[in-house]
Amino acid sequence: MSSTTTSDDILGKKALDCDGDILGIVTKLHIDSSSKKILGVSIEQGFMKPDLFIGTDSVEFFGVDAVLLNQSPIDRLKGLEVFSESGKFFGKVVGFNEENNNLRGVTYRKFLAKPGYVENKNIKIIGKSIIVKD
Amino acid sequence: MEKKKTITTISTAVDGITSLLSLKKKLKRKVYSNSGEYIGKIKDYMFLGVDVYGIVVKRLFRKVFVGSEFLINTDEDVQMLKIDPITMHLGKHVYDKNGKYLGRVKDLSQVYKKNDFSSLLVRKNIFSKSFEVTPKQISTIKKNIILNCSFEE
Repeated sequence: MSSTTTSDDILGKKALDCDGDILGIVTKLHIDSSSKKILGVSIEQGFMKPDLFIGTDSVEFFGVDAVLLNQSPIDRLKGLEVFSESGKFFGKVVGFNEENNNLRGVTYRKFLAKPGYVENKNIKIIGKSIIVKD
Repeated sequence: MEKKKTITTISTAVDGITSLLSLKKKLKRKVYSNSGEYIGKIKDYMFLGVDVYGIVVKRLFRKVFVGSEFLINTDEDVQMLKIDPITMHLGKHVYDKNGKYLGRVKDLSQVYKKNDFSSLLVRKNIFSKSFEVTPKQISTIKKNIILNCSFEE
């Protein structure tokens, strides 16, 4: 029984994505009533932010103090600042285009200016900001 | 008499100052690392003679000097660096491979003059004992740090 985990060990723990970023707190376990298997967990992201559902295929490990995920949700891109390699500020991410959790491109906007779009192949780095190739 | 808005130029090297970079405009400019993380604002420029040797970046109570060899020379909105300064790791949360929370990075041992560290000093709280983490033990070092080994108390 030492390798088993109870719901008490999971609920209330922090959820960390593959970059080590804290996504929020695990609040719910989703169980398929017919197959009796855990489908995933719900993560509370904080005030004014919608809850996030993470399937068990995206969970790397149910840890002692945290639940480690093997990927980073694309939703996290919204609000990130977009810069060129040389430091020109383009705006903030307002939307994205994805297919099966694979990013195709992001839409950014600077204040009231017309929105712009950058394709994934032109993105150099996605971190705390998005750096676009010059 | 109407007040003149232009500056009188006394120089044999340049015709006007419009094509030159203003230090005043560059001060307080935001600085971002190579991976796009906000480092702080330019507090000061360091000169030796007429050559710029680097900038002092300040964020809260922490100051870091970045040599000019790591600066991307542009006149854009923000100052970009060619590196991710090791001082960014200070304050990051550290978890072991079992997802156990080990503490925060309190200090680091810098490899002499290089943007590299030989170990990180991690501590959970002021009453707990601090311990060292070497680069070999680190699995992921991005927004927080995840180790590739487990730590027992």
